[in-house]
Amino acid sequence: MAIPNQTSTSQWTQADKSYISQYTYYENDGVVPTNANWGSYQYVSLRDIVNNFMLIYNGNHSIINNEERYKVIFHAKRGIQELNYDAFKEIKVLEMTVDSALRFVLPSDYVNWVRISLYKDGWLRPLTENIQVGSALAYLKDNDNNILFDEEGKALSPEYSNLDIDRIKGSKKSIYLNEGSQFNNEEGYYWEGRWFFDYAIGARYGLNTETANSNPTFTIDKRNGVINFNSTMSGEKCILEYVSDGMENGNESEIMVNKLFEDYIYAYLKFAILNSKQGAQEYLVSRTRKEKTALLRNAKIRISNIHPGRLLMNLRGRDKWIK
Amino acid sequence: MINEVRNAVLAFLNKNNYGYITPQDFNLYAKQAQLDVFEDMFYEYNYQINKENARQSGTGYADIKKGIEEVIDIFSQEVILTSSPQTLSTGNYTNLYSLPADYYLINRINYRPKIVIQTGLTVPPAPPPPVNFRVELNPAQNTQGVSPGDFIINISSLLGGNTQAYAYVMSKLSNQVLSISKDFFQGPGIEAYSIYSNQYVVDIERIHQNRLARLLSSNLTAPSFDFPVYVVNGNTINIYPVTTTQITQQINTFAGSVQNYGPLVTCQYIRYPQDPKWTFSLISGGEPVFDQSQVDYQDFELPKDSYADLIIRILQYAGVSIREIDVANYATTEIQTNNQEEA
Repeated sequence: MAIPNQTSTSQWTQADKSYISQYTYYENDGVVPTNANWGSYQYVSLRDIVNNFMLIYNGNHSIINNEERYKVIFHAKRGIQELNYDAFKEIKVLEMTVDSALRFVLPSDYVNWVRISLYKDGWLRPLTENIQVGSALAYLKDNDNNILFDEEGKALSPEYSNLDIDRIKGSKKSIYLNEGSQFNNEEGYYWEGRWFFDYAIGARYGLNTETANSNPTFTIDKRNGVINFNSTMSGEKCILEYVSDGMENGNESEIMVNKLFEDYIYAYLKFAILNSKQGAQEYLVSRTRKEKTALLRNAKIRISNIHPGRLLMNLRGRDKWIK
Repeated sequence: MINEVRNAVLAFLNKNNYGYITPQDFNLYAKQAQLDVFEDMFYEYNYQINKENARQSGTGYADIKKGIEEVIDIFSQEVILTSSPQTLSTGNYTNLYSLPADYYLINRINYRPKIVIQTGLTVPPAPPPPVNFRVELNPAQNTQGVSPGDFIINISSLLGGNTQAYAYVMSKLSNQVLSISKDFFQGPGIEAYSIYSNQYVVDIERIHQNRLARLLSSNLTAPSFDFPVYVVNGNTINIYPVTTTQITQQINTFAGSVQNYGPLVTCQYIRYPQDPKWTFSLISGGEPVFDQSQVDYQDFELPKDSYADLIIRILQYAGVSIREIDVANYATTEIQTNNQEEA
């Protein structure tokens, strides 16, 4: 498909630069990837935000003037980061196979996790976090129990601590859940696809509900950038749902904000700049603080998509018999 | 206007027939006076903005700021900045660009990263104008990607040192012919041109030298393709990030040599006014006779409303020169009175 010859005698056309033809939208002018513009109209780019702000809110007759652009960029990015953490509801999803060391390396743009699931037999099984310690650093010691150091004075560590080895090998006890089994709720060892149990001697008191789940559990090691699983997860497919900060690995042309938050970002910029400006009147700071708070609230309500159709769906559920 | 100013100055000074000043002295005082008035305009402009912000100024005919802006804009120029050194070996590039020699104030520096047509060759249409206000693209190219408002540069003329060798695309006359805003051809023969999109023009922000190192190492605000910055070093600027200044043009010039040309960086600035020069051709009765046909003739560039200001300031300098304290005092008092009235 060729673009029609757009011969025009009008002098300027750049006013419409934010708007693209439908051919560009659907087919990206035939350039691969052809889906690059799909859904792009929902967003406003960082470039446009900064440009609009400098043009409209920064100037001789505005409450902000003589502000350097790099400061506006800084505050705009910080505002976008904060929005990405909770307000945007833009969840990224990554599927990876857990390696033999039972690790899942966190994505490069990971900030926080939302849900971690095991994808097996066509089912998505949400996993529970095991807040008990599952991984540790260890130091090598000599026979006299002294820590060993290298020539630079750093303590020597083994590749895995005993805690890690137990977790990886499955020699660490965990709860077995299977209502049809006599060992249901018993502590056992999972080893090479089979469960082993101690002889039931003495009494057992209580159940550790944190780990009482037939699915694998995980622990997030933020500092080392990995998710550690227990031994049943080896070779399984893990689905990580997470939030990023929206910085798109430093590619500024891809940093965007949903249009529902556009007014909020301008209000946030005004507040952030005035709040850090020497001599700015407190009533201005207070006014812009209220403005940005109100706009954030509005934008959150809007993006929540609470509308009659959705309420109807929920209300219909009230007649469902719960067996 | 310069002759009228000189006549008025001589009339003021010559009351007792000893206040004559030579054309050379007059030209010196005129230059100094014009610079004084020129620089005062910027302070006055700032003062008027402060008044506007305090809601103490009017609109329409009472819009003093607008009048000052119009005068300042007389000295506005837009030029293409060339990388320094201009001729580079293949593959080399620099982030160093030369500023115009006559700049008083750099107002903005932009660059246009999006090239629509790169290094096309064309022959200027035969004169007379307005035929020259058009570009016939070479057969391998067409006007499909070109939009009215796009920026077209004459590379041949630019390499010849003409930093104003640019025009705007006004309309597409056919698939091969563009109408442009001015005649930018330098003569007969093949000339090279490039067209840059005007839909994406990026501001390059000036930053202070003491911010540069921190900015370059910042994770959130490091200069980027979308938000580049520059620092001034003498009469040159350094643009960051360096990647924005990579070669985008390799021009195979007609002598067979290859010259590189970086991205299109343009600068809008306020230049200094030209030095005024009252010229004369002969002396009649002991008096030089004004002749504005001399090649070095230069009138004042300030508008007529600066007439009184120029006279008073020249009188001030002349009064000091001929040790006529009354003249110097009168001029000084007049300047102070003017300032109070404007306030």
